[in-house]
Amino acid sequence: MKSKKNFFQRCMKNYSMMIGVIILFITLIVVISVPLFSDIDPNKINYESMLKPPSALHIMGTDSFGRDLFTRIATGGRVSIIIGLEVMLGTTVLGVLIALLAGYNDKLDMIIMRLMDVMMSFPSLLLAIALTAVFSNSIEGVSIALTIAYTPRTVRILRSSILTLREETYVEAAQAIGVKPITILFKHILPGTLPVLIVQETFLFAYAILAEAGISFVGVGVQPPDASWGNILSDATTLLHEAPWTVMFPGLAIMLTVLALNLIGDGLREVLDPKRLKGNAND
Amino acid sequence: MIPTFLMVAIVVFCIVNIIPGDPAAIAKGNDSVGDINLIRERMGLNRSFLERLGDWFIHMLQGDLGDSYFLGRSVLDTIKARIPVTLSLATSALLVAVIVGIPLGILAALKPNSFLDTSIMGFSLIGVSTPEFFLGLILMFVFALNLKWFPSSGYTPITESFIKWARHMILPAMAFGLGQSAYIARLMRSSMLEIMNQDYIITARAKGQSEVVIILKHALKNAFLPILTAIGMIYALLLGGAFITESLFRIPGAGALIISSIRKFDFPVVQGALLFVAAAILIVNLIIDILYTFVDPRVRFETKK
Repeated sequence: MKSKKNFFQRCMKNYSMMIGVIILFITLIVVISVPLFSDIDPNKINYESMLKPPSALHIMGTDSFGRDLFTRIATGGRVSIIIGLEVMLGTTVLGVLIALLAGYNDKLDMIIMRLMDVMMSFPSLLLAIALTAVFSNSIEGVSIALTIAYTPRTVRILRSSILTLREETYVEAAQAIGVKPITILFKHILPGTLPVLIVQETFLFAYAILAEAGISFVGVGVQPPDASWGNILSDATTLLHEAPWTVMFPGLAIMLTVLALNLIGDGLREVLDPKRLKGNAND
Repeated sequence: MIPTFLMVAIVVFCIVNIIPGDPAAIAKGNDSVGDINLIRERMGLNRSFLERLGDWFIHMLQGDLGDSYFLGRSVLDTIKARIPVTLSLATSALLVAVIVGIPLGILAALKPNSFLDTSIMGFSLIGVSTPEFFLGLILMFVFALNLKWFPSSGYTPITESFIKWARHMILPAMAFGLGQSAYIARLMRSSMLEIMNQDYIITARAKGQSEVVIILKHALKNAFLPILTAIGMIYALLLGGAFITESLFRIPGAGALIISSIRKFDFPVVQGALLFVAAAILIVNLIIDILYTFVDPRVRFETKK
């Protein structure tokens, strides 16, 4: 990242990333504006308009309670995206703090990494489910559970980046002239980890949305009447045959948002770190 | 591995036992005459947290995971019936992922940035972005409800009838495995691209080796190494994430057991099942490490020293 202008120019030239940005932007607009300006109540039950296919009145049709699907997906999307954002913020703050502690002191490093190994040997989704049961299955509970489940990943990636940066000549130079270790850590090493952190957190945003959808889908995540993409889809599974649109639209909403975030993550990786080959969006 | 497993066991116990919820109250709901304190005592809930942890831990080391609060069976028996189901689902999904992912990755890497490459990578990006339950619902809609080729849900043990098992397993395995195949294809492609630029490939080309031999004999073997680690990770992911597919296709696996047990606060079962899944994942990692020494002579050399 030579200069900000250069960074934005390179982003603009990355077409697939721009597609991602546009999809995400549209999703955000829908998710923010529809619940604000629409006068349709997403939870209002109307037995006269049950399971209506998409029409001019209900552009995505209605569900088995006659509720307008488009409004429900927009309000549910708000929940899903808020959880994604909260997990992204939470893992960033926790991850940076823990990784800095590990990078600061070698003994702490050993303890911390051992603990992270134990947490990583759990499947993150099952861990998140158990933790959701601990913290209540509200929006906040799911956010906290996913944050705890995903923080070890951020810590691991940040720590390895910190360890590499510690060997850099400019860090040695700073040590040689007697700069305090804490200052070195915050002023000279932390900024260097930023590209890695940004890319990692973009992908984590995507995972968090998928994970929330997954655990709400099996019914242990966000609970009705709060709509989320996961539980809207879960409600729709029994209607697959008679009302396939109730499955298609929430599914597409999740897929497109995650796709957009993956496109942005891939693009950021290319722009911020051209040396690495593109490929592994999942690690 | 063993210290990690013991720590995992303690963490499992701690997390499960801080879940707010009173199993005794639920048990009392079933028989109205019971005294709640008596039920608590019978469940061992009247003892302190540390006492229970110590007790559970010592019994766990002896292979006894306690009894389910509600099922009237030992945890071990309950899980034993479920583990093969989850294993067969995760293994079939892994097979789908490998069989689809690796050839696609190689094809894409043969002509980088060609139309074929771009379309395979485009599809794979869509693949990693699609939740398995959405893909599962689409497959169910097309192949079970409309074409009626496969049953839409249920499970038959492989020991009972292989054909019935396969018919039940094919849609869940595709739903669960195709997303991972997209990930494998991406990894395989980047690994192949890296290898194809190595000096020894250029040497092989310079001495006039045919392209087919170069790819099959020289490139694939080395490109496969990073994939092996990824396959281990994916298998772990499949074992741990199976509960979503199990719940969609109504497959009575270990994941589904964890979900239903968490709901009724059947803590011994949750602990036992979580422990089993974690152990399975640790074993998968161990197997991958051992396989490495066979596939990559460099690793073996280092361990001998």
